[in-house]
Amino acid sequence: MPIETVLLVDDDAAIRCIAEISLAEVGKWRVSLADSGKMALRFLETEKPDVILLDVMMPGMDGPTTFESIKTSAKNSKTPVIFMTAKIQKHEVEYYCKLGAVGVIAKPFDPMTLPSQIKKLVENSDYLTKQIST
Amino acid sequence: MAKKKRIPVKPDVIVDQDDPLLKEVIEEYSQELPSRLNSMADLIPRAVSGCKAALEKIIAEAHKMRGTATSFGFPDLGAAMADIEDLLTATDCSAVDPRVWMRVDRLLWRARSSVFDRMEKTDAN
Repeated sequence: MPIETVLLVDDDAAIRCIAEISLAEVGKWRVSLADSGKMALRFLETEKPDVILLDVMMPGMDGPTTFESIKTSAKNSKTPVIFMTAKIQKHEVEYYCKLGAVGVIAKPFDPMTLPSQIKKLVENSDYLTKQIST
Repeated sequence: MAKKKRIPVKPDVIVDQDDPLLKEVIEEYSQELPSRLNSMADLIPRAVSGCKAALEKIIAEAHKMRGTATSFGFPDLGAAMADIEDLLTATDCSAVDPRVWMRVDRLLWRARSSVFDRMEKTDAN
């Protein structure tokens, strides 16, 4: 499934800034930004991006809580979600993947390779889904 | 209980600060760094004396810079902030170990020096 649109959810303006450049200029994707879980859910009521990048630690509604709401939404329950976090332990990666995320990207990321990391995670997830269904 | 092994923050993220795509945003980020680091330093005495809000602010700021500094071309700063966050999240504010604060102070001093040195070199060029 080719990626054309991405929703990035992160409360840190610096991350939104550099990730937007990375995803738009390097990935050549259409990028939408949200600075909170609440804003993301409002956006997702009417829009269906091809992939959602979701920061884990956000004030108010954190990443996992936001993800739980996304999973129950009519429009985006199957949209691939990738968590992003600056503090990562192996058991946390397993936890987020068990929740249903297609992967976790560690911060800091290389803005030049972020799109290819995302593509790889989504493609691996598509491959696994096809294997399960055949 | 065995300690959980941490996946190391990628040390191999190397960002070209002169990349035309990133130059402008890197410059904006760089210009904010001195005041952010000075504000962190100003919070330390309050956190040392037991102010939980000050400690939480330092941790939050360290966490943010841990996740961004390397992407903006400041890997030493990112590593220092990771160490500061890890040190302080293992610390109970009500039972401050002065040695922890000494380490935090040293890490922050080194981080500030590296940032200011870098900016002086950039200005000189």
